[in-house]
Order: sequence, then structure tokens, then C-alpha cells
Amino acid sequence: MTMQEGATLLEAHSISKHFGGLAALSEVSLSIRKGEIYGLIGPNGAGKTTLFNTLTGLYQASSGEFTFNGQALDTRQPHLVAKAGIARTFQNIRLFHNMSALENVMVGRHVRTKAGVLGAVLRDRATRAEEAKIRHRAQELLEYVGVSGRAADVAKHLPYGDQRRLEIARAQAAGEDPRRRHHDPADRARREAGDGLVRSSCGAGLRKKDRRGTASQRAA
Amino acid sequence: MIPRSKTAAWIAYAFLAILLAVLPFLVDAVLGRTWVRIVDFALLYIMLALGLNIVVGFAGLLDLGYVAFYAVGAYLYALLASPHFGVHLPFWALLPLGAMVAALFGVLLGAPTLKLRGDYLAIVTLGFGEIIRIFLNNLNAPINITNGPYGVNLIDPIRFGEFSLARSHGIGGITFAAVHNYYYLFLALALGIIFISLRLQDSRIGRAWVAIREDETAAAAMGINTRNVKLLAFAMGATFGGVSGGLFAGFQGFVSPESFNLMESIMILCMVVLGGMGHVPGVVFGAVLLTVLPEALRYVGPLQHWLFRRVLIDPADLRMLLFGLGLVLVMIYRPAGLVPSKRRQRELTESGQSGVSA
Repeated sequence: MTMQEGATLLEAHSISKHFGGLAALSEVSLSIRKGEIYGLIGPNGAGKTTLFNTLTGLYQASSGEFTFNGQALDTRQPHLVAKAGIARTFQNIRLFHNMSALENVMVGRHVRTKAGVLGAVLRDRATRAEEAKIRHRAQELLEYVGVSGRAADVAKHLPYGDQRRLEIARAQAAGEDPRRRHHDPADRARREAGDGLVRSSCGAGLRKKDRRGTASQRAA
Repeated sequence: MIPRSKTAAWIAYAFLAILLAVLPFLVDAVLGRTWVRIVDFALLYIMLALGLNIVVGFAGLLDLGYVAFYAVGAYLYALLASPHFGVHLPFWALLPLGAMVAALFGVLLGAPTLKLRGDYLAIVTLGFGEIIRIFLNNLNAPINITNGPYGVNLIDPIRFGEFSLARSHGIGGITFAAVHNYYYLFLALALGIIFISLRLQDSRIGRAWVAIREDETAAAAMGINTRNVKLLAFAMGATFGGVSGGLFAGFQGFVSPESFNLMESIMILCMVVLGGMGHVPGVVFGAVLLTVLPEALRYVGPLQHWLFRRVLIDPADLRMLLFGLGLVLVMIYRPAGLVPSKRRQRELTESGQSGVSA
């Protein structure tokens, strides 16, 4: 499927979420087109987090549905949402604290790779190549968010700002491989979709980096 | 600890290989044949502990009923290679079959417990272990399947063609007794399981297991299918248990439900925790230590007799007392295990900084 510029990427249709008698979300509808960047604001308890949790499959909506890239995703399986291309970070950073920064991002590649038990044990050529690619991409992303100097450090030892950056890198790792998007427009769409819902409170520094990073990637 | 240069490493490996090759003869000469048997059991427990390590150490799922898979493997071998049913399937068919059936039981246990964590998971797995044991104990009526508490006797020894491991063989002037033969078979399989564990640990699957242990919600949000990956951990762990069970049945020639009680599960868990959860060399060390130590403490009785000319404290009691004391001391002074993994050490020594994990 080829994605037109400006085609609808995320479409939520009257989503409601009740916790017992409490209506956290009632009839939320929104539509985001490809390439658009939105912020979601509201006072405490407005249901921002609930909406994100619903859209990423952590919560099951009480009613309503949403589609992503034309695919219905009213599921209770977060991993399928991630596979479809929605990656997320968390309000209170949820890294894998005792894994190194690099390993954290490598876990992010899980959904785009496929080596199983047999591959792990035999370590055949395909598995070795895949591992090398995972490692390479993870290092690339660490560089992109500016944490590559602490790749071997345990996640919980990083300062708060770096932890947030690392979480963004991990979310981006779940996107499609950028080297392939130049060849396949569908992949490109999916990859950019993957970057779409990175919910962040990142500072201007990262945004500057972001612009530089995107520019250099385009140049490459 | 690990030699830096490559030659030094090769020399160390060569030395280790020679030591492992002559170990049964060395032990036989110095300590006697009973101890060769204990070494065989140590190898068996290495396999069991490494299986449990996948579930508890890698994926962080506390399983207190692990011995059930050991029992499944052992009974499968016992029932299909003994006069009990008059079926005598060969060893090479039974071992993979035992592994597969145990894996199936692993999934059977895993499926209903997917949503449980920590204490709750421990309770359910404990119940599962007991269910299997009680079934084995009572499946002798109305149709006699397991022969109940009497167990299954006269199980075929493991044999390759005409070469039975239960008999002594003279090869090149050296006599290989039964315990020696089994030693080499167990050693080969234990090395295989160590190899598989190491490879799994450092792979896409191994990372997914650790990610689930660290933060299941975040792991799911990153696209890890937590259901399948957890079931895989249960199945892999159970596979190792099933293989060990088959070997145990062939080695002992007799199985009964008595061998698969809760105490056994706890012992295997102790090997994993004491050695170093999630760390393969640590778990191997833990398994050897906890097999050899209780046996060594048997000598406390004769020692008392020699020292005081009478036995002051019953050796069986003292043995458990010293054993328990040792465990408590290790948990106080080395909470990450005797040979801990780097990651585990970080978790336990600097847990103050990781308060955000919830």
C-alpha cells in the first residue's frame, strides 16, 4: 500500500474508557495525518495518559475504535500495536533499568527482527547478520539522541535527561529499518508512522538534534 | 579470573577438558565408587538447575513446581522402557520424546499462569508440582498406570545398540564401570545444555526474557509478545527438566513419586539462587556445591565419634542445620549468589536507585 502525503494515519472514533463508574474518556475522536505533529494538553486528570494507554493497547477501550495506517487496532495486545508501528515512551520513564543503554535500544528492535531459539543456539549466518544489524541500528539511534557515550552504562545510572533520550531511542528502534525505506514507499510510510507517536517532554536540545539528525539522514 | 591472552585461555580449557575426562577415575581412586555416583548426580542437577535458571533467572518467573517436569521425563522413560507395560523403547527415542512431553507440560503450566507474577505465580506453580506428584502416587487404580507409591521398577538401563551403560566394559585395558559410563553421557549432555543456555542468554530471545523480568509492561509496549516469550521460557526450562528426568530413570532403574517432592524443587531453586540467578557459571557452581555438600556432611557422624567417642548430635539433623546456616549466611553476605552475574549484582547492591521500576 502506498501512502499519499497527508493521508490519514491515526484515526480514533468516539473512544470511551470507564473505570467502574468513572468515565476517564468519553467519546474521544481524533485524526492525525501523516507528517503532522500534535501535542495533547489538558489539566490533571483530563485523561491524557488514559488516551495514550488506550491507543497503545495497554487499556481496552470501553467503546469506540481506532485505526492506524488503515488497520483496525481495537485490541488488548500492546505488542500488536507496536508491530503496527506505534511506539511509545512513558510518563514516568520505564526503561529496563539493569540493562545497558545499548541493550535497551536492542530490545526495541525485537519487533522488527525474528531470530528464534534455533537461530540463537546454532548462531547461523542469518542470525549473526541480524544481530550485527540490531547492534548497528541501536548504536546509530544512541548517537542520534546523544547518549552513545554511555552505551555500556546501565540505564538506571544515566541522568534523568539521558534516560528520557534513551527511552526515545528505544521507541524509535521499534520502527522499520531506515535503510530500507529509501527503496520501499510502504516501508517508509510505516517507519515514519513508527516515529509518529513519540510522546515526549524532551527539551530544545533534542529537538535541535532531531532536526540535524533528520537532515543528515536525508542527505545520506 | 578469565585469562586475558588467547593461549592462556586455550591452556585453561585444555586443562579443564583433561580434568573432566579423568575425573571419575580420580574420584574413584581417592574417594571410592559412591562418590563417582555423587558426581553423576551433580551433573544431573546441573542440567536441572540450568533448566530452572531459564524460567527463574532469565525470565524472572518464580517456579516452585519445577520438579514436576523432572517427574514427567522420568516417568515417561520408566513407563516406556520397563516390564511394567512390557514396552521397551530405545533410549535415543525416549529422550527427545521426554523433552517434548515435558515442554508440553511446561506450556500447560505456563498458559493459565501468564497473568500472575511473584508470590502468586509461586503458589500456583507449587500447586502444579504437587498435582503431578499426587497424580503419580494415585494413578494405580482403577487402571494401574504408574503403579502408585510402589513406583516403577526394573527400568531398562540406557544402552546404545549392544553397549549397555549399566555394565562394566574393558576398553584398552581400562575398566569402565557403570557409574563411569553414565558420567560421560551426563557430562556430554550437561555440556550441551550449558552451551544452549549461554547461547540463549546472549540472543534476541534472551534479551526479551530479561526485558520481561525488568518491566513487563514496557516490554509489551516495545512489541515483545509477552505471552509467547513467557511460554517459551516455561517450555525451554521444562525441556531440560524432561531430559534430566529420562536420564535419572535410566540411571536409577527405579522411579517412585517419593523422588519428586517439594523438597526437591526447593533444592533446585536453592542451586539457582545460591549460585547466582541468571548466571550460567554461577548456577553450575551452585548445583555442584548443593549436591556435594549434603553428601560431605554425612561424615559429620563418624567425625563426632572419632572426636568425642560417641555421637552427640544425630548427623542427619546436624547436616540440615549446617546446611540451613550456610544458606542464611550466603543470603546475608552474598545476596546476588556466590558467583553472581554483573546484572544481578547491580540489582541487589544499588536497588536504592532503581525505585522507579514500578
